[in-house]
Amino acid sequence: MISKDKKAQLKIQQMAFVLVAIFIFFAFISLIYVSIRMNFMKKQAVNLEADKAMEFAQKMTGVPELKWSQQCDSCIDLDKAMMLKNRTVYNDFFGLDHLSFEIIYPVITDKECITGNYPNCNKLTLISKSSYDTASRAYISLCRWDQETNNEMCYLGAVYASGKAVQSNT
Amino acid sequence: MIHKLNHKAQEEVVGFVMIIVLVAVIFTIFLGIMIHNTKRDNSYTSIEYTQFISALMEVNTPCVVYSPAHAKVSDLIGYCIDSQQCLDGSQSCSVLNKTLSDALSNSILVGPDRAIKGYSLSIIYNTTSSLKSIMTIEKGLCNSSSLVGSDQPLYHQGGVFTTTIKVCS
Repeated sequence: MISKDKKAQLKIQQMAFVLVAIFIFFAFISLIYVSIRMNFMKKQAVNLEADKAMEFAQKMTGVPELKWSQQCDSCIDLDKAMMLKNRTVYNDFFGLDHLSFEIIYPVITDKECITGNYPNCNKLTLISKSSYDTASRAYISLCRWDQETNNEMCYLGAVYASGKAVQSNT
Repeated sequence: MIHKLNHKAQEEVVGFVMIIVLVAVIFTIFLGIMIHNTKRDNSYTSIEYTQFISALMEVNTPCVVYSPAHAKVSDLIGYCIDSQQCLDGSQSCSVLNKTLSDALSNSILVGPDRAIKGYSLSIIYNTTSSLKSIMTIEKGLCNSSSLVGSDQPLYHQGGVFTTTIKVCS
């Protein structure tokens, strides 16, 4: 025969154990939920960072030193870029560690553009410091004036940019 | 009396376990709904492919309709809708198909071992009276739930043609 006091104590102990068990259970579930949510937010953050970098690369098409003169928001003047290539004064102008353009289509000779082979080349590097982070890429149109047909020629290309200006998106 | 006490203790334990199981089932269902909603958010309009389509529309093609300018992709889509021929006798739609296929192959590398499993580019011409599929170019397998893409509408002679790209990873 358990006395009434002991019975009450037993009831209180039971309730305490139940509460602790439920608390541990809720804590366990919350941990799982938070880790899944954090994982999802990390992916979103990576996507947002990539979008931010791509928006910056796209801004290159608005810079007067590189903008194609026609009404085209995503076009860069390859002839202007070629003129800038050897001008070291512009190395710090963009605030970048690396800036280059590449023609993706149509396929042209896989060569870095220099005065001697332009326009029979597909890569043009404006800035390339000794060390730089992975460059962000944005698709653009690379346009130039074709002397043979006396008309514009635009190619599908990409701009690669990396540096502090890309990270801070200024 | 002791026998009754044992039964009572067992009843208490069973009740406790039932509460735990009920709470566990409710939270598992809740968690499942949250995870399912999270997975659905993998499809989104990508800035990368918005830029890709904008740049693609400006590319000059081998087709010359009005000499000496080589038609841009955006113009060539219009010529294809109107079934016009290029000056060299080739069909504008054939040149457009080849240009887009080559541009996509060079830009987006697909394969079962690659990050991108497949893509699909479609051009649809919409007028007040009809909806017509002009062209569809597909490569790889696109059966995953992770889908990014973009579309760009352009006006052409009273209608709108929309170029849509979808990329699966």
